Amino acid sequence: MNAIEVTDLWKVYEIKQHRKGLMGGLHDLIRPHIIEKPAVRGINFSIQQGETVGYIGPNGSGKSTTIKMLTGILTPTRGQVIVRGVEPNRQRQANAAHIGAVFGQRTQLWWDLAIRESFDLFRHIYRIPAQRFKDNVDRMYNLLQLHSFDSTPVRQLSLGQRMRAEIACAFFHDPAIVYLDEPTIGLDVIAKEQIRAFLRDINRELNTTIILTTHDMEDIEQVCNRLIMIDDGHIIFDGGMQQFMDTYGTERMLSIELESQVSDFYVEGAKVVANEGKQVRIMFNKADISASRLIGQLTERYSVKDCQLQEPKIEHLIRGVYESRGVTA
Amino acid sequence: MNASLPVGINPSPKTPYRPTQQAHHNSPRMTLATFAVLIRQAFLQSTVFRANYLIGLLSDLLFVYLSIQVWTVLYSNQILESGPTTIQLITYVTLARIVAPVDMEFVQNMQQRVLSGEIAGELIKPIPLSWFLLAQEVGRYISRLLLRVLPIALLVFFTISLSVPDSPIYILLFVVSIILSFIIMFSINYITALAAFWITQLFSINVLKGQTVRLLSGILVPLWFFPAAALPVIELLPFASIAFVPIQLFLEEISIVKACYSLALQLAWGIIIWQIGRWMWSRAVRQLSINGG
Repeated sequence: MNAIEVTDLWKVYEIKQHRKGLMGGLHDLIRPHIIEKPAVRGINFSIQQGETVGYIGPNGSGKSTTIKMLTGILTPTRGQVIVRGVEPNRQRQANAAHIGAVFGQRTQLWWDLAIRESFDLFRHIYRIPAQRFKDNVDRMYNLLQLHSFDSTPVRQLSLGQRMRAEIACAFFHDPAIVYLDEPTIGLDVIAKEQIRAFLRDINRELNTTIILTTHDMEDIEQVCNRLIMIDDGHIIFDGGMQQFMDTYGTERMLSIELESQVSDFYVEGAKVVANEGKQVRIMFNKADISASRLIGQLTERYSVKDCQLQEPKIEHLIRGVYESRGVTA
Repeated sequence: MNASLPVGINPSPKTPYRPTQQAHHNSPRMTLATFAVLIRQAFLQSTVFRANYLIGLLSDLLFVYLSIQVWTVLYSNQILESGPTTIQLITYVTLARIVAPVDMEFVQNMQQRVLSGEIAGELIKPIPLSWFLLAQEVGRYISRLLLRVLPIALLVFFTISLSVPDSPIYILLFVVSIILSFIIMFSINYITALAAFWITQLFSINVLKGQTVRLLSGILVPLWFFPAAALPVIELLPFASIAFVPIQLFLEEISIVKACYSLALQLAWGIIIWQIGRWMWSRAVRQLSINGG
């Protein structure tokens, strides 16, 4: 059984379109002009238990709509979602028992109470046995370093502290699947690192399935082993991180430091992108020419002092994919 | 918590999930223990803001004092030939002012959560929103009874005087009636809050609710002073159960038979309004899950 099974999933929103002018307004009152706006157009994927999936796409691509259908908040217009054997929107509470969710800035905590009071509430709501709860609390406290602020009222916490507490809340009941929507938005580097490390640890230790949507590609790089890209309601890429790099990340950058300046720098099979002083940068496609052959050619022709090969960053690649599809991410 | 309950979690921290393992088969339910914890939390939360508490207490005291003054003056001028005694009237206006929780905190909060879309999160909670809110309000109500109603009643008792029931049966009936009154008031507030799904400004409907309840329940003016022709109709409405019925029981002003009839009516209204709330919630969920709110 797959943890998540999505088959030909569609979501079409009906939106009331306003007509112009007074007569239009009257017309709207009597018979509203409804247009259909598809947000998700027939997507398919299945996710195994224990996978860490980065689900990414530009704003308005259907990303959040998909997550809402997976959690059971939205009812699909067509197609099917099966999460651990149940349809989430039909059996919301059965589904709710084994999922956890962190939705960006929205809080699950009680504003005026200390976080440990909120945690206690979760123990009762999810009916977690006392010993199990204690183990989990210890784990969360260690991994997310909650000790220093566990008796402070939530409203006095910093954003980073609150997000860590929110994330802890999503994991107390040992959910099989956890959905995280922008869990690191607005956080500083240290808090981001803590959260990423926590997600990696919990996935390794408990085999929890993690579905992560984010605009921060570092999150994806450090946490996920699979990437699903959605654009305009269609899935445009679904595969492992390595596969993504192989498909889109074939361009390599080579930075060269020369003994002396060469104004008409040229090498076959590569493109010069910068040539300033003794520093030259060239771009090549590793499918056309191997790095060793390129460097061989270079050293034959010029006196090279130093050179450095750079792998492309995922962020740049994803931006490249969007741009090639005419989207500004 | 009973550790042997088949709660949907892993048996040991080191055991990874296996696809065949139906670890999360039983979904959590709203248990009494959960209810008790929610009540405790809401109670604790209501004691967090001391200034807020003191200002509320003072304003209640002021209103009770003013009501007593106004009504005793009016009453001494013989606007009613036969009717309650002055001490009964004082008891009535004191209790009416403080005992019924007409406006509940979650109503305005709900509007904010619907507008922000945060309410969608309720669909993935393992316990229903209505029970969650009810438990919270019970906690707040207990805090209200202990920290507001009791001190004010004691103060009036020692400074002016109150009539106190001496029959245990009436005390019991009063307690039952107060509980039913609370459930009706909660359900009315719940319905008002759910209106947020269809209208963007709850303020006016909330005011309308407050004023209707205050007028027809006998909080503003004791129902004794209403036109005799209107009284049978008003007594049939759910509002009379909110203040007039319990206070009359406190005053031992109605017969046991009439009291049982009134309580049955209260119960019926409680069930009806609660069901309307459930129906509205299911409509709201449908709307939310089809158009995303």
